[in-house]
Amino acid sequence: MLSIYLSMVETEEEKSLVEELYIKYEQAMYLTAFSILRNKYSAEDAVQDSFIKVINHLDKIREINCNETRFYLVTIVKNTSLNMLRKKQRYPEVSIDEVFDAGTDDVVEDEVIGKICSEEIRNALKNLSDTDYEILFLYLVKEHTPSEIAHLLDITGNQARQRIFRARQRLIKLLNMRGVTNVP
Amino acid sequence: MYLDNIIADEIMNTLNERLAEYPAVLNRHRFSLAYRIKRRQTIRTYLKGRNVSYRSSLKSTRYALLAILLAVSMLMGFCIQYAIGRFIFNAHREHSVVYISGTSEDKIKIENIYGLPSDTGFSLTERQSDDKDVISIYQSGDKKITLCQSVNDDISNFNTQYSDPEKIMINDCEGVFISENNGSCLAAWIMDGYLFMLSGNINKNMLINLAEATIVEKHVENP
Repeated sequence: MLSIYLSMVETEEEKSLVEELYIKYEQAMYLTAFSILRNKYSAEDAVQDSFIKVINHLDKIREINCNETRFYLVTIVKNTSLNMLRKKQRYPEVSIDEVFDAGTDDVVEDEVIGKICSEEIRNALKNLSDTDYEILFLYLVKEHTPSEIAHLLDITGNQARQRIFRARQRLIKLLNMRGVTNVP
Repeated sequence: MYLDNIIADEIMNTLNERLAEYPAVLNRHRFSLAYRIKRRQTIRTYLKGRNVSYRSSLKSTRYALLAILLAVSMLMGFCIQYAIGRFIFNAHREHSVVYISGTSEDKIKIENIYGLPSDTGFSLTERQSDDKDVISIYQSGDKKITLCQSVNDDISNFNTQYSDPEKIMINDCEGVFISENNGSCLAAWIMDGYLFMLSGNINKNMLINLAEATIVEKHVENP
C-alpha cells in the first residue's frame, strides 16, 4: 500500500513542464487542429507533432498558465494542421509573399519611429492578418530566430525571413495609412 | 530595435482578442489510446533528459504529499483499491491509476517485437517503437485496433469510467478486460516480461481472440 502511494506521489509530484503543458493545453490544441483537419486522428497527430516542436524550444515558455503560452501553442498547432491539410489535399501553396508588391511598399522605418504611438500600433495590429501577426509574435515576443521559426512552421529559413520582413513591412504600411509617418 | 519592442508589447496587449477567435473548449475530447501512449513516451523521453538532482530535490516534498494523500483518502474515501492479479487498481471517478507489480522476469528493454499474424484479417498500418514501447496500429475494414507492447513502468492509467475491469486469461497469462464507450474495449495482460494492451472498436470475444493470437514477429538487433 505504501509503495503504491509512493509511486502515485512520485507520478503526481513530477509534474514536469511538459506534462503541465499537455494537461493545460492539449484540449484547446486539439480543437484548433480538428477545426482545420475535421478528422480526430489527424488532429491528434497534429497535437502530438506540435508538442514535439514545443518541447524542442521549452526555454521559450516563460510561464505555463498565461495567454502568451496559449497563443504560442495554438499558433504552432494551427500551422502544423494547415501543413498537414496542404499535404493531404495537395494544394499548390501560393505564398502570401508572392502577392506582396515590395516595389511600391518599402517604408523607411526611421520615419515611422518619429511618431510612434502605442495605441496606433495596437490598432494596426488588430488589422494585421493572422499569418503576419503570428510570425511577428514568434519573432518579437518569443524571440525565435528565423531558423527556429522555419522549423516550427515547416517552412524554409528563407521563407521565414521573408515572412518576418513582409509582416513588419505590412504593419508599417498600416501605420503609414493611419498617418503615423510622413511618407506620402 | 525600438519599434520592435513596442510592437512586441502591443502584441501582448492584443493577444486576448486573437485568442478569442480560437474555438472554446466546451466538450473535452477523449484522446485515443495511441495518442495517450505517444504522449507518455514524449514526456518520458523529456524526463530522461533531466538531471538527477531534480528528482532528489522533490524528495523533501514527496513525503508531505504522501501524508496528505493518505489523509485525504482515508477521510474522503475517494480512492477505491482492488487487485486483479498483478494489476492493482486505484479507482478514481473517471479513471484508474493502475500499479502493476513487478517481477524479476520483467524485461527492461524491448528485445522482441510482438504483433498480430496476417491470418487474423488485420493488417498493420502503422508502427512506432523505441527501446521501451512498441505501438502497432492494425485495421480490418472499418475496425481499427491498437496493440501496445511496453516494458513494465509500474504505473499505468486505464479508463474505468464506463465499466469495472474484469479478470481474463490470455494464453494462461493474467489480464484485465475493460469496456469503454462507443463500442470500444481494452485488454491488458502481462506476457513474456512485457505489458500488452490491445484496444479497439471490436467486441470482447474478438479482442480476446486477437490478444491470444499475438506472436513474436521479430527479434530486435542489439536491444
